[in-house]
Amino acid sequence: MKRLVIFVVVVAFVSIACGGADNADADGPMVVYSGRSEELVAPLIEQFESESGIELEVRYADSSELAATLLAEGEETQADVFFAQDPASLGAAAALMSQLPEETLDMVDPRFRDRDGRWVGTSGRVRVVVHNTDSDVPLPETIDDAVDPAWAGQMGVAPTNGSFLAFVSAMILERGEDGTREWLEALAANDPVEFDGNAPIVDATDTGELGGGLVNHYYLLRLRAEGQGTNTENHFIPAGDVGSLVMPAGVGIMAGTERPDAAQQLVDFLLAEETQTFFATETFEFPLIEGVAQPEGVPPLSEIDAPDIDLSELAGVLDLATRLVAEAGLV
Amino acid sequence: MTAGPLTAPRPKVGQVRRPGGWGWGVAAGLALLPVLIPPVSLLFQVIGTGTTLAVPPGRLAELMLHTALLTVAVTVTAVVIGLATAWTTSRVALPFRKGWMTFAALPLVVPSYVAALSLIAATGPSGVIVEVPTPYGFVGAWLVLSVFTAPLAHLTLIPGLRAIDPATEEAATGLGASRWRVFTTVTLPQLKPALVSSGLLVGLYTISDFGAVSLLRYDTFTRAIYTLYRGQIDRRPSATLSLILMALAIVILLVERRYRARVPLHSRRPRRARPLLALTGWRRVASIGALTLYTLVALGLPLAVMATSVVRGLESEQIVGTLGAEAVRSLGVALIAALVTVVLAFPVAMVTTRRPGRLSGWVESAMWGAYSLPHITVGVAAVGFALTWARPFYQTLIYLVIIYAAIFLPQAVGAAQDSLIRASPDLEDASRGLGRGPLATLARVTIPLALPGLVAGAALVFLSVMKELPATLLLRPNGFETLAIRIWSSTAEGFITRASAAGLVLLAVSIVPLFLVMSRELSD
Repeated sequence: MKRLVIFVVVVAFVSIACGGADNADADGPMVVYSGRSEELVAPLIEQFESESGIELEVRYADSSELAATLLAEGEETQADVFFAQDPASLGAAAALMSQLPEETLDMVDPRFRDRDGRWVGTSGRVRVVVHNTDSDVPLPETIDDAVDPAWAGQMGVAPTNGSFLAFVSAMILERGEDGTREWLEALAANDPVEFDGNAPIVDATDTGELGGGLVNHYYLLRLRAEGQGTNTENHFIPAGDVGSLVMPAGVGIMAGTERPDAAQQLVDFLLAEETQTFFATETFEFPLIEGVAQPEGVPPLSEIDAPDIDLSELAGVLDLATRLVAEAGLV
Repeated sequence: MTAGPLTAPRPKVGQVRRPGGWGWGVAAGLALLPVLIPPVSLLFQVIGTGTTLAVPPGRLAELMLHTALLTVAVTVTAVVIGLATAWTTSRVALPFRKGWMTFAALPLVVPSYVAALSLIAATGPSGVIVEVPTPYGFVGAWLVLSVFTAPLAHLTLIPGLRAIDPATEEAATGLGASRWRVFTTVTLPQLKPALVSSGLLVGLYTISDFGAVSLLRYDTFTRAIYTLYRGQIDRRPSATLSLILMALAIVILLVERRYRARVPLHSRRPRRARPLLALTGWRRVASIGALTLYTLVALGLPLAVMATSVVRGLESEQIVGTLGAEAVRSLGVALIAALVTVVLAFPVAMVTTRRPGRLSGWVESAMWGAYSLPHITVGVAAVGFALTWARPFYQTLIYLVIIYAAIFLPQAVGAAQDSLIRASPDLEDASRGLGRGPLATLARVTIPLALPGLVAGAALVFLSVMKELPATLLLRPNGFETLAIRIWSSTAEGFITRASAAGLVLLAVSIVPLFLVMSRELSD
């Protein structure tokens, strides 16, 4: 028993030493709240640290969870930078962010940044319909075709997932509350197969369990990188509606930061050519600055018929979107 | 000491004055302070910001029905499985008995979302194991939760079985009762307190679980709460639903308390070893076969699925990365949390078993209420509390450990209570009568008597913390990534290889401390 206790104590101390991470002060590392997962961005973080000599402390979690955390922490937050996966989370926390300089904003198409210049997109993610190539489901020409009875029982959706909710929010901006409710009810009536996230929808499509599903474009590309996904294709809805919504991941600087220069350096780094190439080749997302090669296996961003909506307004209708999804009986 | 009847008439509680008794009350009160953080903070949150019910009443009723059905089904099944594994591994002379005992506890470390993913991968059109349709909905959630919460019952019932005086069973056998009759009329009634605690542990855990129900698409309260937390920046609807869920759990507890017979079960005999049952023929084959089947399903299946993914991923040159730092963090924080929780649980168990009364009843309800809350609710409530009242503790390791203790306290208290119910207070009185001071009595008599329960409780808490996710995500210090977090974030991004590798490491590092504990303290 004694040895056991000693073992416990030793391991405990080691773990605290490794965990490090005490509350930051002005001289400590710069704190980044990252809604993008460590799997995707850890190499970037390391590279930035070694290039700039600035030490980072990263808190990884769901983007929406971090946005809510930032709102709860308010101006007292330790976070210097918020790097999020979707415009709705960025928008929710935008009131706590400072304005970015013009030269930063100008690097990115105005469609993919905040109207008031408080956050800027860093990479693009596009909504698609994945489909099994052996299945005879008709490929949707518009997002309304995706709820066609031909898809009954064949469509995978992830109604609790942030991307799906962002898509529904965008639909509210495009066609209003009632129009969105109708679409969601049509989807629910079509007996969709519900999943917790996008990746299992693509898996199930690849195995032929589903005809297809509403997901983001890069899950299939990642599945292929794992040596699977050979029976599946991405379909980009060509109608210019929310079916091909482009949702930028993006970054903003917290207004209360004591290291505005270091924070700006990180933002610049994320928009640098090398980093943008990393997004295209490693996470299979669309780079958002000029002159960087697009990911393989997808059409270039300029050829995708994205809808014309103001992403800055997405956060305002996110709660309504969640409610409509619940009322339609999808969750 | 003379042999007396099993339940000697004792003066009513409260009539015996034991000096220093108030000390336990104070200690238990202090130990329960962390438990009050989530429910009290949740109440304040709801009072402060108001309630909104984003869910239509019809759906609310449906969610309640689904939750109740699943809870009852899982509780019954898991307790039966846990009783079978606990009885077989502690009573029957089996080859590698201690190994079986440990293995039957280990599935607890498999997070329910990993278990659900394993079931999904093992079945379906491209099933790794069988090509039957994946049992989505009630059946799938019921199977997964029953199999993977059975260790909660297993670990709680082992000390219970061990503490039963062999003389009672021997007497029944001597009077000509069959083995089955002895089991049902002598063993089971004496196990009642342990069966009740394991039933509560399983049932209220089922209420709080999210992973299995969401992946297997069975609509419960907790799934609705998670959806609201994830999808909405506005915390009011989710807080309101959480409060309803907690009320539901407290109703279950009140019903349970009303019907719980408080039979004092302490034996006056010193504990002695019991010869193991030597089964022969088909009985031996059957019991080994059943244990093998359970271990294969509960451990083999997730292991096989994860190992397949890792191999397949490595063949496609996926990078797994090092998981050493995560493993050390998970292990360290789980061990500290287990230790702290057991220290807090001991006075609570003392007060609730030695001086049960109305106050201790309330205290127990608060404890179980917090246990039944979805962990994301606990996390959000705890964040709110720290930001408002305990800013210096916000996002510190200490606070994280305190909240773990608040969530998992019932696991340690339940196990300790069972040992204490059986250890007669007369032994303590005798020690005091013989001139030992209260501290010496505590160290030499009470703690040794309670030790099997405390160790079992520590093992439960350790395994639960190892896999805990939602509260960890919200409360950990920046950069404190654990194995469970790694599994979650890799799975969410579709990096199956890395997620599976982290899952394998999680299992591997849990085995060592568990083996240590089980072989030293739990086997007789």
